[in-house]
Amino acid sequence: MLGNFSYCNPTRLYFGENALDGLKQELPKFGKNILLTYGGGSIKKSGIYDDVVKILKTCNKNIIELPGVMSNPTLEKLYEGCELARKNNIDLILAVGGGSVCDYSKAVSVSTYCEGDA
Amino acid sequence: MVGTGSEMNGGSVITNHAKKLKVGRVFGDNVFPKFSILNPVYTFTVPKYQMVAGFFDIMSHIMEQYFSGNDDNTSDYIAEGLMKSLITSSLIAVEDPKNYEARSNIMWTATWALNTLIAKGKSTDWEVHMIGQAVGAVTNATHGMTLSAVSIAYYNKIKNYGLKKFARFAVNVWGINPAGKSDNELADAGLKALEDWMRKIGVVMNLKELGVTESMYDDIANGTFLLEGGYKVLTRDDVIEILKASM
Repeated sequence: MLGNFSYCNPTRLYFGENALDGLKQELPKFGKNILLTYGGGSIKKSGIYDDVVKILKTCNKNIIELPGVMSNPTLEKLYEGCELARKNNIDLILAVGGGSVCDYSKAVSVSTYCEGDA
Repeated sequence: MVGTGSEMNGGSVITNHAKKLKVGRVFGDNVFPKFSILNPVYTFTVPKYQMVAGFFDIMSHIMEQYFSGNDDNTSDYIAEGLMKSLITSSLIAVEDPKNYEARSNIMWTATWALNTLIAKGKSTDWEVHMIGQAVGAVTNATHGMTLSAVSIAYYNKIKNYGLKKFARFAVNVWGINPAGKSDNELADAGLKALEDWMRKIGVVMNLKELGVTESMYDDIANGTFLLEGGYKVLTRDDVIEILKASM
């Protein structure tokens, strides 16, 4: 191995058919206001949306919805998310979907606290 | 869908259509998700086009890190294992998308392909992503397909600058018998095996299919960041040649 580096992997990962049980364990660690980001609605068809909302309600969270995150998320959509996050004093962004929704949610989390573009 | 590895990294890609730019930022571990929930069953319903685009995105993430440096490096051995797992499971999943074993292996491979581990001690390339993202900015095409459409032309362009690694790729990833073959022959055989696999899983093999026309070459070249971590630093002309060869 050449060079000097550090390695840190701070993500707790729940894997497998029962992975969603991990959400119940994680939610108590965060505040009340949850920004729920997702894409075009496939999660409603598949039932994942209902499962997630049920857990959020059981854990007494306020849900602020941010649907319509497109594949290849745009700058305009990012600004919309930052605005929503600031206005609702969001404690946790919960991305439900694939790479675009996850990428987008990170961009919102960083840019919400940024003047200008991160 | 799986592929980006976004569930366990600090990466984020946003598209600015006004400026025709698709820009990725890689933030530090304070932007990694606090937690991620991965259920392979959730991936069963992803349409086939997106599924295989994701498979290629995973492969590309691994190759972008693997094809750099000339030292013996633990990261490359891990990368080879991940590629072999992906190749095996992807061929099963395209025939049987609800095969839990295959889809779960692919999901876990996607995470490890881009959570920084296999980049340790390496300069890493990422030029295929730079070209692919520039293509995505003007076409809004599916990310994985922008990578598949340009990869073979890109690797043919740079292989002579990292010949030993391309030969190793053929032997260790694709199981090609090195007996009696030169590094050059092995490198070609490895890229041929990669291309055959891409055709088998059914990814897009040319830019035309993504709607790219000659009139877009300038915008794509202008939007392609030229990085220095790979075997060859491309010039703008190289990028145009790769685009032409990818049509």
